[in-house]
Amino acid sequence: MTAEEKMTIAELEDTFIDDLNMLGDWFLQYEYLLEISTELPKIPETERTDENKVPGCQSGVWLDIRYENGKVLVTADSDALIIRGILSVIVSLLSGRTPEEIVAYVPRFIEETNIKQQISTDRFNGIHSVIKSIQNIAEKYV
Amino acid sequence: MKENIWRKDFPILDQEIYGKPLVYLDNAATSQMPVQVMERLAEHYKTEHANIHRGIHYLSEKSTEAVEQARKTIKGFVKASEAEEIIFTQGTTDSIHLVAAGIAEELLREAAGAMEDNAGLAGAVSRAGIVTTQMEHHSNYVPWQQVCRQTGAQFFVCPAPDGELDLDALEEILKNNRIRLVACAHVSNLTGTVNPLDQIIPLAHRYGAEVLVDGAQGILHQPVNVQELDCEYYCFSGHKMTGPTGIGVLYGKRACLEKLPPVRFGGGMVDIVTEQKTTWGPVPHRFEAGTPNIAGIIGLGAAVEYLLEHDIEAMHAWEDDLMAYALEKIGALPYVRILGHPKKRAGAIAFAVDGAHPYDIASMIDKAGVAVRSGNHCAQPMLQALGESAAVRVSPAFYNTKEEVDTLCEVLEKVITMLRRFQS
Repeated sequence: MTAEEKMTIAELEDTFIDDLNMLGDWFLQYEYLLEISTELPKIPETERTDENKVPGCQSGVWLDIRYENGKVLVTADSDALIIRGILSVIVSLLSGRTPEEIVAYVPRFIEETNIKQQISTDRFNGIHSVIKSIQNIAEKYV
Repeated sequence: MKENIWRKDFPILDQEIYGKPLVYLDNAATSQMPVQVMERLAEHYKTEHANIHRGIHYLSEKSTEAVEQARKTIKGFVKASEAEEIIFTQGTTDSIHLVAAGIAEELLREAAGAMEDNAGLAGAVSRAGIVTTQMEHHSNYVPWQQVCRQTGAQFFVCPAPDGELDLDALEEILKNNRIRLVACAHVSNLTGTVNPLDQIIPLAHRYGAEVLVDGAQGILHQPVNVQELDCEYYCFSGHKMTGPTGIGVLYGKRACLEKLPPVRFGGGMVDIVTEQKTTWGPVPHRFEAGTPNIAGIIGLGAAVEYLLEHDIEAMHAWEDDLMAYALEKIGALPYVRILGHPKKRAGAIAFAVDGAHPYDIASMIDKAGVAVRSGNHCAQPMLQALGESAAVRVSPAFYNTKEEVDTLCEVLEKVITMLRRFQS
């Protein structure tokens, strides 16, 4: 088990919020999001279906949620890199957690960073509905 | 470079965002408002604000006069033959809906053979057809698709390969079907294609079809003369022509408006109301139920006055020059593909970039002070036909400058390089 996996969701989220906010400049923050977007495994084109697509007009977002051995496993992808970066945060926070941990999770990293501004123009609120979808699935297994 | 004589009238442009001078190139979504329009709005609220056509008192008369003066100004601007042909709506979408819903009722009545006012329309199926085009904004596409769904009329879409309408295909549709109406953009909101209305309208008329022109993107960037065009309807919005939001216009030929069934009922649009029946007031008021957007109308009138008094022909010439410059400079950037190759383009340039997503590009250049739009631009059929799912759109107006295009291109180049570095 790596050090990162031992951290609670809240601890990990604090680390991300501090890291991002430390970068005062928007471009450095984007660079950081682009950097972590590379850590997110891709969902192959063939598995990007209408069923796992999250609505939104700006970019495509696809989401795959499974439940295995008591843990909720999340994969997510987007054709926009900034969105991939944000999805990468969500996946690192929530994938591999127990349903109880996920259901209890109240996201802070959007409100407490510039991500709030970044995603506010999407009228379908895609990122919020990604978190909601993961929590809805987790709820079934609590 | 030549100085822009209009820019000083637009105070919003003179500011910094994220510590960088604002470069506003999203005019196809909303144009900015000159100080003259703001002052007129303030004057209205300060000295004459009241309801119109209702009160027998000073302020009501002043407001009514201002609204009817705006109608005359707009009539002159689009060169309609009478002011009564100008109907105030909430915007282009609303104008199109007013016609679409009226035509839906007409088609159902015709199909039911029910000319009696009190006859029901259930079960009637229209045998007519409606044509729209692949390059329409959803606002001039979905309403017609829904009219066809409601009435049983056939829905036709004229193809627009590479951003240019296929007029032979349009003629085939017109020849082989009984087409009630052709709904077509003056200027595409995505590729900026200026459609040859001087060919499309006579073609439709030859086959007995009426034409509705979505002028949302045309009204600011192209001269509009509805009598010369000879279209039945021309729709546009205030917020895309330096006026306020929430106000728009439906121009209709009087003969068409006289027979178009009103679909919105309420105060100010009726003649006699009894339990058995209601008769309609005269055109244009029968299409303006309820208290209209009075300040919006007056603001739109002021915007048109601004355009007329500040030499709109010179504005068009400035824009043509700016568009040619922007097209060449953006097109020369590495990995950029300009979408569509129309013969004539105005108001908008859309592009895709190999290895960089429009959302990322627009987000990042915003932080450098440059406002453009990304996404599907409410034109999914056109984007699909061009083989894309999203695009970046740059849409200049007469108050933009070549220096701003240079800034855009510098920033674009940097951002594209950065995004491509992370693209696996």
